[in-house]
Amino acid sequence: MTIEEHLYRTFGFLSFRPGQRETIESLLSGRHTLSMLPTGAGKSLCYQLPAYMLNGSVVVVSPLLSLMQDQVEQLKVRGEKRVIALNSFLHYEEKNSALMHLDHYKFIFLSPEMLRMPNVIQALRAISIALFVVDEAHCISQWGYDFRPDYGLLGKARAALGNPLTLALTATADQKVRADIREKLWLDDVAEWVFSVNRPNISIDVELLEEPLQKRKRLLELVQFLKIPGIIYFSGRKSAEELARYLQQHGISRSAFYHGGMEAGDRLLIQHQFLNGELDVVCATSAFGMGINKENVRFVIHYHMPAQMEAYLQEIGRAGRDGEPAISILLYVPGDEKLHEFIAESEFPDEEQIRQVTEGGSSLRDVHPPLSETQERFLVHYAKTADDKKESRYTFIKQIREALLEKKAGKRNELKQWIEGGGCRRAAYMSIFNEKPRVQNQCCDLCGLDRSLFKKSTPTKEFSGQISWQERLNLLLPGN
Amino acid sequence: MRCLEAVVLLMLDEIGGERTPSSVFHLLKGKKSAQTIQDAHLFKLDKWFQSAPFLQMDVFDELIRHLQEAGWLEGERQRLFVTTKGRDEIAAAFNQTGSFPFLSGWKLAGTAPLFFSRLQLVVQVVSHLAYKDRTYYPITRDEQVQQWVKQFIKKSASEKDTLASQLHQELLSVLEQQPEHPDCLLLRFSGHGQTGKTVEQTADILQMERTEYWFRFLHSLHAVIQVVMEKSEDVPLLHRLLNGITVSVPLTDSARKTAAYLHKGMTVDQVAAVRGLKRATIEDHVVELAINDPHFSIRPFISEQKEAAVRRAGQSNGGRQLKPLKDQLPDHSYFEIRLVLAKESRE
Repeated sequence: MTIEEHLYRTFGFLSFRPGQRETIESLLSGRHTLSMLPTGAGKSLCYQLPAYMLNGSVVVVSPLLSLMQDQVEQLKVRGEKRVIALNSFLHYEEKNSALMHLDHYKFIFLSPEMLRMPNVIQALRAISIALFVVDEAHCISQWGYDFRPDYGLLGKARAALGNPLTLALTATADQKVRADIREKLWLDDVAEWVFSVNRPNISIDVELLEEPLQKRKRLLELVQFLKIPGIIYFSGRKSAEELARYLQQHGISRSAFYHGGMEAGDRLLIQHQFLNGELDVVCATSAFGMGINKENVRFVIHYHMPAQMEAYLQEIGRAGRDGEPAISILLYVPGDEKLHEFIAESEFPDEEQIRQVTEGGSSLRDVHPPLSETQERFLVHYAKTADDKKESRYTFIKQIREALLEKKAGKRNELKQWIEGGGCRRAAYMSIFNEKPRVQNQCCDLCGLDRSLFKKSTPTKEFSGQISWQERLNLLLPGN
Repeated sequence: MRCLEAVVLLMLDEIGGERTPSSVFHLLKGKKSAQTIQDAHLFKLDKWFQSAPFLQMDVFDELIRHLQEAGWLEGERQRLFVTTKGRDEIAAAFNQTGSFPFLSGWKLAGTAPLFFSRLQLVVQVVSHLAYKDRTYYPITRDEQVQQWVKQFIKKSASEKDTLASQLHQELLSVLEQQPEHPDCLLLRFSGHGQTGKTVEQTADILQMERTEYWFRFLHSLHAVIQVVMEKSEDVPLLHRLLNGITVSVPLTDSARKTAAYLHKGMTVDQVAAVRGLKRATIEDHVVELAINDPHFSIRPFISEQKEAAVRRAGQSNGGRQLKPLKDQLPDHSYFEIRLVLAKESRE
């Protein structure tokens, strides 16, 4: 079968989206491939399709458990049963049994820390690996958005697995990060495909407001005005909950909130409700959206400014996957960036905490105030690096902390300047990724934008809760 | 007043200053310590055992502070008494919600979540089968529940065409026999064309304060399970959902004595000491109880994870023999493995 036939028969699509064909053909010609495709471009197809054309299993390394679960579920819903996810949530026996029968699986999803385990490497070595996929490959670079120290193991793991054909996928990596990906994955000869970060069907709008109190009123107006469904992003869990409630109290009954602090079961329900068109708006933190394949999201609103441009682009990328017009609106009040300064600081241990673990000789558990999981990972990772470099742990870790904070401040500032504007917004973000500007209609607020194009035509629906419980039961399980 | 506050006040009133407020916290969370289990029975608070597993210590502390400030509690922080005003509040609150007579935390806290999880998935699968809709995402990601339901559906293959209407009839029957509004449960189910609501959403739709909804939901669920247990022949499908979760019948006198001590909240070692028997003998009794008593929970003696591990190991080598299982499960004691086998033997 040709790749088009596979595309249609297995996935039901008639044509590729930009970048998919190039990536797949590059892999099928046997070359290691680094592919940068914009969010919403259908990255997973780039390894799922070759999986059916190559002999052996496809190993996918994925940074987030929830993302992994989403991908596994999507494959299963499509009818693919030969899927397994190996992660720390698996019980000892489950893992052993999976490792014994690893060759039964076409798709093997792994969290990076699994590759630390000798028995996992051993089991992987015993099977034939058609393709080694590194999803969200920018996580490997400390200069990338969302750095994950465990990704540093991947180069060594690839070598241990006999240098299998490799695909590194990312939506967001500038030249520096891409170079880092090649180096850290120990890839010498790589075909690099970089596709535009631009999503022409998403119009870019930024609204400057004078004070925070204006925001909720403006948000309500927007949600009442805009075509649904949409996602509203917040920097904090509490504000996501508050505003979801506010919207509900003001007639937007089909709205809900979503954040990482909710129970897994509740998160899943909100995700399903949104996918099934039972919700018009989700007020969410950045935890929402990664693995969700919803095609018809018509707007993304940022109630708070994101931490940096890469995060912003990832999040607005959830709009308009169907190629139809969609709009992204960022609400900004001067000083919004302060929140991220605070968040950034709290991601790393402070100097005193670093001192306690290094010079003070405290164990990680005894540090006061107690370390968060992220802070602990940071300390463990860089203590090791310092030892490798034979440098003082305290000085080294402190320097790294300062360098990373400075980098984040730089990134924050880049986004702030972009918000404050001047010239075309699209051209400005494209230039960050060394792309040339493009002229298009409905580009951005600075080029001129007809907002009425995004106006909803039908009134918002209400919850249809007004049926008797007997009817509800009958709808659920038709009797007789 | 929030329902949870009324429940906490009621519990503090039963305790009457003989324990600290944190004992109420542990009871609501369902802590498996001898002290908490003993408290549950000593103060006749066993129905509330593990009835608010979502509770956090800081939220609980805040709640206590609020009850003090409102003048419903008095005394020192570690020794609190409900005031007359507080008692009026309790009465008013329970007058509105009822006293949750079917709530049975001690007996059902282990059973109810798993039963509900299976029921949710069975309803979803059967609903989609009935509508011939094959693409949907399962309501739970719990692999064990998924596997269990898969087997359940497989075994029901002969009745596939009537499954939906049979399940409909059974649910209708149990919902009519429980005391709360049936939507407390029904809104939580996913099926073809409708997704289940979260706790929060259901409370909003039913216009209830959130913790009130939670206790009504739990009350309804416990009542349903008791109906299913008592009238199993009327609701065979629902009764099958309890397979492997609960167990039933006669004991040796010695085991009965041990049971009485355990019921008071003693640990295996304490019972051994009191009765002047070896620990191994008491363990035998516990296993006997697990085999025979339908309401006996093995949970205080083995965690859910460890239990699941034994079950999986048993499935993979098809064995009931102890030694091979023990070899496979180096972190388990023989006692733990026997307990799970005992429970399985009732299924």
